Amino acid sequence: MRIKSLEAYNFRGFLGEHTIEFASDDNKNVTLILAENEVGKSTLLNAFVWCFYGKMTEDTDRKNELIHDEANNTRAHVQIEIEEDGQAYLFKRQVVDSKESFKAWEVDDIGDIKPIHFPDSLIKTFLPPALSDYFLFNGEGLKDIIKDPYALEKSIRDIQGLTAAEAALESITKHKIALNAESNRANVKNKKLDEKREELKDKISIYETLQDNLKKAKEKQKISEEAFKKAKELWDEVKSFDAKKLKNEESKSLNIIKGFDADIKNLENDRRSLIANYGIDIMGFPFVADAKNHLSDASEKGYPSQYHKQIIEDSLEENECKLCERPFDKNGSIKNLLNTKIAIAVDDDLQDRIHKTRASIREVENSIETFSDELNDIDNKIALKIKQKSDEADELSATQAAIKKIAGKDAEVKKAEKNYNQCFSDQRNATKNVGTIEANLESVEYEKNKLDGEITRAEAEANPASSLVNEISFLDDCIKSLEKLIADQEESGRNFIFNDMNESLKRHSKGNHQFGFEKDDQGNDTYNPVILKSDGKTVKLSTGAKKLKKNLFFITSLIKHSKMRSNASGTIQIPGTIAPLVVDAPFSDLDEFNIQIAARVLLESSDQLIVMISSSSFNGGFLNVLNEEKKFKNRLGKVFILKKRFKGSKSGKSALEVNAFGKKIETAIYESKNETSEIEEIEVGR
Amino acid sequence: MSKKKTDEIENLRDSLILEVVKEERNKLLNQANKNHHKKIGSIIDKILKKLPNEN
Repeated sequence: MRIKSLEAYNFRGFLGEHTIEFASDDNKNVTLILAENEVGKSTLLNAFVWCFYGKMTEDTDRKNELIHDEANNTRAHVQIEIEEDGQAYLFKRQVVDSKESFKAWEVDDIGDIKPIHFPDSLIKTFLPPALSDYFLFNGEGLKDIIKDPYALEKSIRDIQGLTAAEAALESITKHKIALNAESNRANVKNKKLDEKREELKDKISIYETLQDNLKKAKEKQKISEEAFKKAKELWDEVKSFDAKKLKNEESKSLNIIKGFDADIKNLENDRRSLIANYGIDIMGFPFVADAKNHLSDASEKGYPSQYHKQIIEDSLEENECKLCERPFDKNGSIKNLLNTKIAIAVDDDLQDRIHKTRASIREVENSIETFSDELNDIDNKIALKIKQKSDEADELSATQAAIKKIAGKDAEVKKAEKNYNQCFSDQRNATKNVGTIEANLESVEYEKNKLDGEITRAEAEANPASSLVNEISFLDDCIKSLEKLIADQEESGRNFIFNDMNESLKRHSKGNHQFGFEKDDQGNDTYNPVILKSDGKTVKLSTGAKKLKKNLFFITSLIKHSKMRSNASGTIQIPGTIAPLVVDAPFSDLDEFNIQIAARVLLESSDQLIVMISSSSFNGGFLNVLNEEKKFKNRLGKVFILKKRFKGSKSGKSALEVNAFGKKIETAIYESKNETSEIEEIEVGR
Repeated sequence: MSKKKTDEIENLRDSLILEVVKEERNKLLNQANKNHHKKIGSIIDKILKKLPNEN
């Protein structure tokens, strides 16, 4: 990775827009920024730190004041262009009205940009935040920059390119867990499937038993039908000898005859009671006949006379026949005759009595006629009953004759009847039984088919657990293998760093000390580098110089390690990114000898170096190293001078000069319109 | 298990590891989208399908 340029706008000490293009090609990749104190070195370093991570270096004052206080708006940004593996990226962090945002883009050859959705994760692979203190190195604020050994370990893993491998491990593990869950589900399903299979087995067994039973029942039915047929034939043959029925008929006939006798007796009683009802009329009939004849005679013979008493009396009174109107003779014979006749003449009283007698005669005659009708009726009924009784008696005789005929066959008939009844019931039960079994069979067959279908479906659904087990064990294998790969890479990386640090220590230090990694509570090595004495005890690093060395050696080892695996494509590691080093005044605490060591270490290990340095440190050591080796000097691509404009006047203030490459340049400019840092590139004679 | 089969499984294992790492790397390098996990799942499933049936 190379940093191509930085653009700061209204960022802290920089008012307006300021751009630096760094030396970033393969040959020229050292950028020197000469700056005295108070002109904005730290702000420039913070521009990197803020842009990449949204924070400031630890020793920064007023960390929240991002925007230059003389800015005419409420915006500030830092934009850094980098190049990684031939691909340019643009990172831009800006604050607008107190709202901060971080964006990144891929930049193609013709300058078109394509946004990147997760700029933070991209930065993490290039320059892990926990290592930022190493790569964006603040020599002045130097402390023990390892704060959290675990964060450091994580960062070293990140820089070792193992982040993706670890994410892969996590992904594969997740997948394995999912497969395990699936396997568990499949096991549950398979268990259910087994239960269903068992159930089906039972059903099949029941079905077969039922089929067997049906076969037997059908045989039994056939046998019972034949038996019934025979029994029926036998019964048909002997049922004519059924004495019981004949006896029933006999007793029925006897009862009927008894009934007829009773009827006849009743009718005879009725007949007798006719005499009581009509006896007097019948006895009186001869007298009534005589009276009737007498009355008939009287009307004919004048008795009572045809002469009416009134006429006779009228004739006697008037002496003249009132009928013929002839007068009576004088002797009075007729008159005498008439007087005799008067006794027998008809008068009203006689007339009335004759009427009554005639009515009585009619009454008797009517009564006798009714009697005669009723008598006839009863006689007819009696005759009919007698006839019916005689017929029934004939039938009785026939029945009794039949009874007599079959006498002695009772037992045989009874047996045949019993047999018939038994066979009928057997046959009926056998048929019923067949029906029941058939119904059961049908129901079991339905259940059996249903289960069969369910099993087929479940089988189609069920993931064969064995294949899942196979897959899970394969993934387990992968996980183990990946874990080992990561551990191996980590171990070899750590060993490399360890050896390289010791190499540097040996080369650049006179003491007999060794680097090691601090142990954690469990006695395991962490990534926290420490300097150990020959007895294994940790050297307490009292001076900044020693801390600086330790940190410089550590970071240069990391860089070398990244370099080593910069072609690691196709392995589990992300190809190494060789991070550029941006260092701010790394030499201020050091004497010339140590400045030279540090300069050499930085120049040797880095692929791109941006170094901010005071002219005294530059001249007192750094320049010597540049000059002593041509390969270093040739790498010097760009030199900038950091200046600062002040509003006030210079009066009384000493000059703030940069003295380098035979030039003296004043870096404090007074009586300016605004107060701001400025960057100016200077040409360096080669 | 035959040597051939062992080799086959080992190759599959290595290719699974590399494929998934590659995908995770793509994600880190910001090529991944929200379907990243689905994609990894399908990579793993694809490799698992190639597993010899009997172990």
